[in-house]
Amino acid sequence: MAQNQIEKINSEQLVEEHADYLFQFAMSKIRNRDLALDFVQETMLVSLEKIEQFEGRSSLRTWMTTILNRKIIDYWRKEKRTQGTVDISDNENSTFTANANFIPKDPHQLSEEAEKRSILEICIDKLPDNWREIVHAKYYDEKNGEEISKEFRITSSNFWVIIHRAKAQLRDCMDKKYLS
Amino acid sequence: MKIPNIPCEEAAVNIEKSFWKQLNFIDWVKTRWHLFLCKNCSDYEKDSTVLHRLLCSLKKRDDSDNLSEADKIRLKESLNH
Repeated sequence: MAQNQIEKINSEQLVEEHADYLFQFAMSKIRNRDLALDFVQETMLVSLEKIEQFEGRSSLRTWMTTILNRKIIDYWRKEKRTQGTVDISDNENSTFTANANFIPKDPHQLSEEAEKRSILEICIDKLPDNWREIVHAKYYDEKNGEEISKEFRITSSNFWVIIHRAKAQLRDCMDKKYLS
Repeated sequence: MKIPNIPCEEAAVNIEKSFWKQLNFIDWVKTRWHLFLCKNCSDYEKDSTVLHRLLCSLKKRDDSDNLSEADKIRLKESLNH
């Protein structure tokens, strides 16, 4: 990693810029606040210690998310070995341990999904501002096309063209392997 | 009966609409016909379906999934020790 980038990174900045994202990522996989916070803390400590190893081939956030993801997978494996699982969930992809920690039946399956979502979020950030806001309104806020057209002062057909073009750009941005 | 081949962008827009609402019969036929003829759009439909599913999974997150200011302060302190 470039020396000037290392100098810029400090713990305060890491927390301000990435903690919320990492915490949400952890919470999406482990529905336990304390545990998720512990994972974020450990991830940030490791990131600061190993910042020299960060080669800058991906964004810092993606690199840290990978570290966090590995920690969560290690945790699941350890939990499965030591506690066993009690299947009390309706979710066919998950089980809960006796102390109600969330454990996927196949950690790799869910971690791949989370990885896809992380990459997609990075790609959404790269969309032109207007397109990004429209994609957010449609998919995050679940507004209908009519509401969005009014809000952004565009025609309904223009709205659909923007959705298509934004998705075409997302498709180009995401590696083919994530769309299979 | 001759079915007109619509342009790729029109087909792509119809694909996007079809994720949210049922296309009218004529648009549906025109789109399916175009997809039968055009491999690029057919590939786009497959990828767009995966993207649609992923985008739908990114819905607004619960506020309880946010860190509080106190959490952030504790986090900063722990990183500084």
